[in-house]
Amino acid sequence: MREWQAYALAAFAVLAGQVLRVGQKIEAGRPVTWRDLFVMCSLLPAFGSIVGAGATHFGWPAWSILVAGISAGWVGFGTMRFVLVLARQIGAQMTGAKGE
Amino acid sequence: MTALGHIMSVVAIWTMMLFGLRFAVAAGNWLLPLAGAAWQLARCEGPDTRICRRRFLQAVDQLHIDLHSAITTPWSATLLFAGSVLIGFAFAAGSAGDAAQLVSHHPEAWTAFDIVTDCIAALAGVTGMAFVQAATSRRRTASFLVSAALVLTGLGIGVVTL
Repeated sequence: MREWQAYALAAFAVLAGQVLRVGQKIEAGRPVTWRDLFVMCSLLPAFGSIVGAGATHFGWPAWSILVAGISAGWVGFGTMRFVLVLARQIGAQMTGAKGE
Repeated sequence: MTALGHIMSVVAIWTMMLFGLRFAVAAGNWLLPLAGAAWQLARCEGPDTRICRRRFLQAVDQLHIDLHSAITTPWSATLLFAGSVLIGFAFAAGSAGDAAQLVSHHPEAWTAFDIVTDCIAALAGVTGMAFVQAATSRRRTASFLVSAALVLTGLGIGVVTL
């Protein structure tokens, strides 16, 4: 498999995972805001390039690219929210420590 | 295999896998509160049992009410039954080709028929599942858009791996 094929496959798999997650949210009646879409668009190239780079470097077969991409797209929102919460807490702790 | 055959089979496998996943997760979401109530009922002990049982029955009723309120858009019932018809014909068509190959004295003669019926099965099955999914979801147009996006990613993967 050539490099661009791995990157394209990873991008499509991540997009499919994200669409699945958003679709599940929509069908459960939960609101999907513009912020979610923005996060989606910013995470797509990031995850796509990470998975594609891993695939070209370690020589992954196609099925593992697809599985990794779908999983990354599916949990992407949760990961972003987790990182944001973590960053906010660490920031609050640091500013609190500075205030003391 | 020709290029068109490769793209078609990749799209069919990809969309059927993802739609199945989506179907199962969406339906499981509906059943989640019911499962919670059943879990509580199973763990209930002593004099609380009647309350737990009433709560479980309330959860069952609530699920029915939720489904009733989700299917409010005018074409939902039509979509639901049209989707069921499509899924049923998809199963019948998909097995017809294989059945012909099984009972025939010359299975190779039926290979083209098998391929055509498999194509029909994939097409009708995916469309029917999208219909049923859209009928039971609260936002119908968005559900159709999600289905279309999944098919498009399958097309992209088929073209890329050509």
